[in-house]
Amino acid sequence: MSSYHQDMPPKGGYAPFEYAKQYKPRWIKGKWVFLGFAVYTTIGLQLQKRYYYNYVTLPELENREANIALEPLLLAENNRLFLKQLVKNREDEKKIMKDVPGWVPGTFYGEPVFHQKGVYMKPSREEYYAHTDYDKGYYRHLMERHYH
Amino acid sequence: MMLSMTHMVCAITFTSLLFLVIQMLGSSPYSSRNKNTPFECGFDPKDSARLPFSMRFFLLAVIFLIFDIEVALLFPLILSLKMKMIKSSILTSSLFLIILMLGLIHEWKEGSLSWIK
Amino acid sequence: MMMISTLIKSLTLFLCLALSVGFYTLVERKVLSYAQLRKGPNKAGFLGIPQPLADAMKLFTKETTKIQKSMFILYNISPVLATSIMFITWMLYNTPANQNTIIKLSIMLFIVISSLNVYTIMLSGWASNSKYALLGAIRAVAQTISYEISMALLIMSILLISLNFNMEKTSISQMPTLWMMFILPLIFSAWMITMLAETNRSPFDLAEGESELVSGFNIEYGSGEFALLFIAEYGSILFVTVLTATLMLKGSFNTINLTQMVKIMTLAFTFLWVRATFPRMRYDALMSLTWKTFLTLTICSVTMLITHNNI
Repeated sequence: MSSYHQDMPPKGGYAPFEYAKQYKPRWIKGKWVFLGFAVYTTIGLQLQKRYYYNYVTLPELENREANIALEPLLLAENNRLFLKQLVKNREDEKKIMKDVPGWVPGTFYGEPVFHQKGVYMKPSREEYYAHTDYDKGYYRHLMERHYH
Repeated sequence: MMLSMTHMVCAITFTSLLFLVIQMLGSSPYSSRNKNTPFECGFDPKDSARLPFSMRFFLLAVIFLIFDIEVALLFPLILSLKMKMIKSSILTSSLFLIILMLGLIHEWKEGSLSWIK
Repeated sequence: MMMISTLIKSLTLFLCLALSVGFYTLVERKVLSYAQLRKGPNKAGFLGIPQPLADAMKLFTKETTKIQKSMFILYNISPVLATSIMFITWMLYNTPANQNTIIKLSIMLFIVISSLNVYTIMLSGWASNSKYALLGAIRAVAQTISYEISMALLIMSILLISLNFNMEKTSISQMPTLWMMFILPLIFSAWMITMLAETNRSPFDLAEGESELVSGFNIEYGSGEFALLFIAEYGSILFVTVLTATLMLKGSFNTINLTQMVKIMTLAFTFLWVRATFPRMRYDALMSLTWKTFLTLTICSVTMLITHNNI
């Protein structure tokens, strides 16, 4: 008799072993993730929309309103500057042409230059800026308004 | 406009000058056959390496062209929304996007989006 | 006078960009090395900090080669083109040092310029007479153009909230605490992945799959030409981080402030971190990711966000 024992399975067989992958139980279900995402995004977008309206749309509207309100004033100032320059041009013409007999400023030997057949004609750009310093920039924006 | 053009011209000029410097510093009068052959594993390439390529890439480029045009058509939507042309722009753009999505699904079903058939 | 000041500003911008690209490569090497439990470059100068300068010196003084049967002009033009396109892209970012170019439709211009990057890759791959370069270029072109569509639609879904094409105005129209990144988390993650793919960065760097195509489209380039391609690639990565910081994290323009720098550096570090962490994707998975996942996602998000500011 030997003390040899055949290795045999334990009584009742081995315990079942894991051959397939064991998934952890999910702590949250997929539909709740979707729902949470939808709620989160909706709240975030609503906040964003309110912020956009208060800090972007309203200032833009205000700026535009201010521009519209200022427009007549700016136009009037512009026209005033234009007329002042025209007056200055007339004075200069008077001063330069004082030696010519029978010269009336604004006419060419009796024929009106700026009022032809009742229509006002603007002086040409070169004529208008003949006695000014263009580089001063003060006249430059006038030119942009009246002579593009 | 003028200043951004200046920037662009400056960029191109700067890089070209850099390239000239590289060529001046790096060009060597000596050359040998082994130095000038393109990289290969273990043999000397004899012919041109410009091989015909897979049809997949060509199909992909065609699909890209269609979708890119659609994206380009979609972009002005933002400005039309900014100008508060809400009703018409939402209607047309949602119609457009639905058609885009249907086209995508059609291509998906057809199998032209999957790399391996 | 304005022209001269613009010229000086642009030139300083280019020099600073080249330097920052150099130091970004140093950061990359350091991050990668510490991710792999080794020290990076630490011999040159003090703690290895002048390493990129030494690398640039070496690269610019190396010998240039003429490859057999390569198209000489195209082969040499493409690195120049790549770098100049990258420099032109940086004109969209108006810092106090670079206020010369104020562009109203800057995001539109970004989309336009970023689609030009494809041509340099295609030219450099085709012109250098090598099979590896050609295959790498074809892959890179297919990848870049595929991701361009989803990128445009992602940008559009952000612009539908901010309702203009200007980078600065888009950053202003975000809330001071709840940035675009927080209110649209899905769009943000898709955007980051798309940007990684668009710049041919690491989990999507199939253009230079080192195991198959030794270095992709730039195999045949040596010396300074390689340096130009490299500067272009890393400069565009840095610009992408700036763009992401502006569109998603409410980046600022007017001042060089600390928060903007922190945002940009965090994003730039994220690019390196991703490179150190993720394995490369399979090519068909890469393509199906953009065509099947991102495109549907972005079309749905655009469809939903049309009504956002108006109802």
